[in-house]
Amino acid sequence: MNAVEIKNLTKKYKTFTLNDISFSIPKGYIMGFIGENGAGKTTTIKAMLNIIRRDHGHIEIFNEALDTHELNIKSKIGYVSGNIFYPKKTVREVTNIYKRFYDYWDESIYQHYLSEFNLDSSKRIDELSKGMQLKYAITLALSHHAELLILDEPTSGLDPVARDQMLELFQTIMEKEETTIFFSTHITSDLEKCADFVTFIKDGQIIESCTKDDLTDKYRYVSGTEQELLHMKNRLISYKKNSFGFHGLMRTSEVSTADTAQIGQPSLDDIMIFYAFSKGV
Amino acid sequence: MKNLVYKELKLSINKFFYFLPILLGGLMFIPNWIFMLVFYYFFWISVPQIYGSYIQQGDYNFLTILPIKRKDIVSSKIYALFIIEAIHLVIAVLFGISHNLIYGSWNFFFDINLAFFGVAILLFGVFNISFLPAYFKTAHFFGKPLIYATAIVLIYGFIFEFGITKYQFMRDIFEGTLAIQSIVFAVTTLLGIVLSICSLKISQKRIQAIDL
Repeated sequence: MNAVEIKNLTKKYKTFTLNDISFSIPKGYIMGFIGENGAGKTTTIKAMLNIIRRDHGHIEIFNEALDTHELNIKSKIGYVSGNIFYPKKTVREVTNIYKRFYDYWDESIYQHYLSEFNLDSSKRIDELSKGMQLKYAITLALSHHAELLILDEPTSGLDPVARDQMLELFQTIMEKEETTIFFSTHITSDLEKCADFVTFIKDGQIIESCTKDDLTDKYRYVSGTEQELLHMKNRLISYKKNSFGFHGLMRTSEVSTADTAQIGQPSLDDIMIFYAFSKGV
Repeated sequence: MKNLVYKELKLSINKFFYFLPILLGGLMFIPNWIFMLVFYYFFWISVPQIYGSYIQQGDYNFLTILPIKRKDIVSSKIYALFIIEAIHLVIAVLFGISHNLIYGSWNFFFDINLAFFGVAILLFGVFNISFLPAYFKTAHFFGKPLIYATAIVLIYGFIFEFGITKYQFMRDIFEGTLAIQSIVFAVTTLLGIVLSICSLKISQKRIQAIDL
């Protein structure tokens, strides 16, 4: 069963188009949403939540159409945008307003996460570090029993320790609360640690949306000599030349038994980098 | 809706703007003055500060995470503005009565009387219809809408203040008997309310089309 179904989502800007994208997020799993800066991750998330108006497409969340059940759907979602709000207000002041909007606000869960994250409710939002602000935003999202957490680049700007803690937290949340988590990132090591599924976007188009293992199985990292490059060039998604020859990326289905170049499993970084070098999708 | 209006008044709008009408009301103790200017300080001080702070405070960042309708975002912001406008009017009435008790009601410019407050209500109506729909075209940029709206209400105020000092027929209408003043009050109040409701309805439509 899917928590989210996105079909043919299109949003046109003057210089960028989110082009007919479709993917789904399985319920109860963590899906990472990767792509380089400007690939369309935030636009997709905002269009998913009706924060920006889409030109075309159909979005269903928890089997309900977003257009007709927006309030009901949004009350089950915790959205962490990474954008700060009311920096000069205290945590307590913001929470006291926020909780008024949720029928299923659970004060005991809120207090539990406040103490677990060492959040001082008398502190102003701008007195919290970036990591603590993120933890506060997650606390708010979890305290109304969000069934779907959507996080836009939650780990960018965090130090490696805070990032690791955050990713562990995602796993704990998913296991304990059975929450579906969808988070965008351009740091692929985040996904290696905790994602079950990966959706990869480039230039406003979905390249892949599958399990993490399937994604790395679908591609092969290739390195070899310039001579070998001549034989493989047309089948490579992209490649880089170096003093020893070349290295590049190709689809596993394109690998031939006659290929003599070194062929191995790529990392998510390799897939992202070589797609970034490719012309067109 | 109740929660959103509460959020506007408690979290988004600084308490200072609820006390400002009292400070500005004190201007009504100036003898022989253009008393309509008291309301203009609201357009010049409160409105740019409140709408500027929506951006600075990340107000829309907060609103986008809540389970609310776009229409209600507009309604709550406009109701909050109406509330502050009403506070300005009520305080001005109190200070206006005090002014007339101290100095008498005669003024070289528009007297402080029933018609004056009707014209003031219409002034807010004119401001609302000029500013709010233009602002909610983007729900972000308030500069141009505010400049246009301020220019429009300046012309509006000038017509009354200049007309009354220059033309006897205007003085007869706006500073005439209590019965005439009551008619002026009723008509201008009604118009002011109609314009304000229109500003709300148009703004609610405009926010549907934009990206927040």
